[in-house]
Amino acid sequence: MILSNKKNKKKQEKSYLDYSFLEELKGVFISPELETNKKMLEEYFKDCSDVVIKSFQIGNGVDNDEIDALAVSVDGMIDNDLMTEAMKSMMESKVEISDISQIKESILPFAEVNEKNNFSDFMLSILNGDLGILIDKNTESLLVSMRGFKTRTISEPETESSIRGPREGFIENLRVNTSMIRRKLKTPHLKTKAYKIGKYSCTDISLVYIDNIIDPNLIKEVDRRLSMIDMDGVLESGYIEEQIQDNIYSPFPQFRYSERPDTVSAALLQGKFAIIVDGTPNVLIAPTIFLNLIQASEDYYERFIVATAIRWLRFLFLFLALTTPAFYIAFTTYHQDIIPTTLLLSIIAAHEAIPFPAIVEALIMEVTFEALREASVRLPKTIGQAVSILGALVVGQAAVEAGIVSAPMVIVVSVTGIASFTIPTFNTGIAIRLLRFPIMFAASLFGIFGIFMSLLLLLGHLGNLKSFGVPYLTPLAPLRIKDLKDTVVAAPWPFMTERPQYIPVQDKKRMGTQVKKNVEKDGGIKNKNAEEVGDQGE
Amino acid sequence: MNKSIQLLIYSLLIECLLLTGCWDRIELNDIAVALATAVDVEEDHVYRTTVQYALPGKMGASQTTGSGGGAEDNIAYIDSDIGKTLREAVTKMQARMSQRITFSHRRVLIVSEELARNGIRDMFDTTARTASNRLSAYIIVAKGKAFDLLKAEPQFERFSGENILYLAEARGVIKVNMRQAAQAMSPIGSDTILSYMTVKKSQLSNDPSKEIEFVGYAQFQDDKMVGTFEGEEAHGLMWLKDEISPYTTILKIEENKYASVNVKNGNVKIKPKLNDDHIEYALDIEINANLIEDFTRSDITNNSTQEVLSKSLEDHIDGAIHSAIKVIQENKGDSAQLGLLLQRHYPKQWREKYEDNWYEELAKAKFSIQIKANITDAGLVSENITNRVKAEESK
Repeated sequence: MILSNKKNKKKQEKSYLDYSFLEELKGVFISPELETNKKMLEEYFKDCSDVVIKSFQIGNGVDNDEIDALAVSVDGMIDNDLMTEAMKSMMESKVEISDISQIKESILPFAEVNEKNNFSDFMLSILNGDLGILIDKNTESLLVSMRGFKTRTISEPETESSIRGPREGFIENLRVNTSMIRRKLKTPHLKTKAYKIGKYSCTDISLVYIDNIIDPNLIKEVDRRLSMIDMDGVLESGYIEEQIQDNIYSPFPQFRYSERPDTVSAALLQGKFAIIVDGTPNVLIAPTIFLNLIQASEDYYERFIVATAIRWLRFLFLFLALTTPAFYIAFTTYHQDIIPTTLLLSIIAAHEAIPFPAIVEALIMEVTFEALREASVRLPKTIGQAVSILGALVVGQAAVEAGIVSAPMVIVVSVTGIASFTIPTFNTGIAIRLLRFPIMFAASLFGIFGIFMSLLLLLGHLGNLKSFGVPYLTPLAPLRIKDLKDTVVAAPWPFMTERPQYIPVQDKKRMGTQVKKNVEKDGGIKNKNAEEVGDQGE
Repeated sequence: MNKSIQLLIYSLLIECLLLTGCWDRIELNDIAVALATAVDVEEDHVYRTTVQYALPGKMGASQTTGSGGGAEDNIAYIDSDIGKTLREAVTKMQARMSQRITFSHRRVLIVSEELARNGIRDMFDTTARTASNRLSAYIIVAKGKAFDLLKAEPQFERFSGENILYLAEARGVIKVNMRQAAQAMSPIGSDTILSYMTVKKSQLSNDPSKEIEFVGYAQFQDDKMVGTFEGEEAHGLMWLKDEISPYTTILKIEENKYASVNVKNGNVKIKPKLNDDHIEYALDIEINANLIEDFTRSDITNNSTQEVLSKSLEDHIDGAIHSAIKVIQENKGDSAQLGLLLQRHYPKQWREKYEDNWYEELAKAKFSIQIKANITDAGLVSENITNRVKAEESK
């Protein structure tokens, strides 16, 4: 009873999206009077200099049988050559026209021509780059797909470069992006469910998944969360991310975003889903666990021993990025006892002329470093170099010489900086970089005790996070031993016979076990026809 | 629960941390690092405490101090004062220092021989009571005055304290730090030894410096020094204690013909046996040694040469052990912890018979020693490379 009451209340609140022009126009049908339609369109597209509304006549080739028509398009969104061809074929047509579908079937040489009878669909298609044709005395409109707006060419993703692996990255066009995934996963099971979000932006959004791997409940939940979004415009996948994530108040990303089709495809094969937003090359991947964020696609391409070693290097530097300055502060202001004597004397010697306590010194350097990093990201590349030289010279050397910071602190900050850049995903790296400041404060107040208390708090927070119901710290907590093979270490491919357990999937099996059995028995695939090969060699 | 109440509870909990009042925080600029302490005894139970501090500002590591140059001049600073306790002297010194003295990096505590003979138990009280004092520090007995050892100017280290530390930890030395010394001093049937060092002028150099030399071990009975192990006695003690670390010794093969061997390692088995009127310790020793010098002009590949060498090494070590036993029995200090060994083998008899008059029993004890020496390695050559050989023999 109470529940249904609540539901009713919710329904009564008018959703923001209801005001969008699409909803308004759903009920407005195309009138048989061409003039009325023209007026209506002109009114809607008033002061839209890029919308071209052109009157013309179909069937000039046939005597006295011209039909008045209207072509509507958005300049720049449409391919001009194709439009010229379409207009030409309609104007010069010698076919007698009795029905609108005749135009579609025998005059327009285009594959995708749709008939729409309301203004909502009509205008949306035009704004997406279709050519709209209204014909006198007809309540159906023709929409010819000839999108020809300029997009960036596919290039190597700059934020996720790799040595081995494909060099292509997503671009801003949704269709190109889905095609890049489709090229990798050629199956009807690859679903790209379409959404349109944004009152003004009408952004196309694709929910991509493989329907017989992914847990249907997961898709239901994503669908629910996506349809709750009700906003004016979606310009980047970050808009979506923050609206549908489990925990807002966390510095840690609960989605992975990637510019790489191979990363996204790999996630889909694991039973995850991806959300592609038109207009951005960054595709969201979820459910994401913390350990996914410090993995790179290359981990799966390189030899597993190397990949495992690199993963461990990342774990080490993740910890260093978080705690190096804090430990330096704690050691030098509380626990001088545990620094080796000779090192202590060197640090004291370097520190003697510095007027600030260690925490102030650390803050000066760390904040400057963050500022430098931010400046070099925003600046044009050519100036960025100048900034880094300036930073290295001014912050690194002059500050030490001027006696503002000590040389060991410069080393500490550099190590921290390098360490934070070993984290392959930028948004995780920046979260870690941010969190080292509170840990530094804790270290300056409570020494090592403070560091470990704040690390415990952090661990508690991470343990509390979830990404679409998947605990953030799996497979470590809760522990899933089988999944450790693809998180803590990188197992060789023959042993990845099952999908990760931490994501609920319909189909656990990933590959046949023939190779695995061979490897377990012989340590590799041995040549059955060894002698023949040997003979050929001779 | 109400969110604001939750927030209030959390903030109150965090404030508790700030209420402790006592703050350990101290900046690096405000500490004076004490590296070594020397304690002498003056008349009327007054201790003279001498502390060596580091002056890192003068080490030249910082380019900003401006003083520049002269990195060598006095990076160590020595101050001294007297007091009825060690802490009193330190407190007096603190009154004339702008930086707080920290003892957490002191690895060396030197006591004078005079103090050692009077008893060193007080030293352990001062050190063990404060957490920042390290029990891993080495306690050294100085021949003569303790502060003379600190005032030495060894050329190889920046601080004499550092030099003493490295000598106490060197190869071929039984390492006894304060914790181990305290453990050895506590039970009956066990006494400690401590490194025994002296100041020596370097020989024949243009500018002779005062160096520190490791002499041997000071022998203790309870907390009082009663004698020393020097030279071969010290080596013999090593075998008795089964704490062998490689050392080099010379062997007299014939008159004026010597060889040097490096004792690599060895295996000692000591078994006590109770007789009616005395205790007998049976030592079974196996030695592995390298030949590193041979002035007898013999060929080591020859079996008889090897036998001669092994035999002479066996005799030599037998002699060393006996000389150590002699020191133990004469001075009545159980430096080899033989009582503890007996107690472990015969706990009941120990309690009934030996515990109360252990030093008398120790003086009566007899030792039978079995040694098997192997010269396992003769180096790169088997004989002197300039030995003259006849032409046909060389083929």
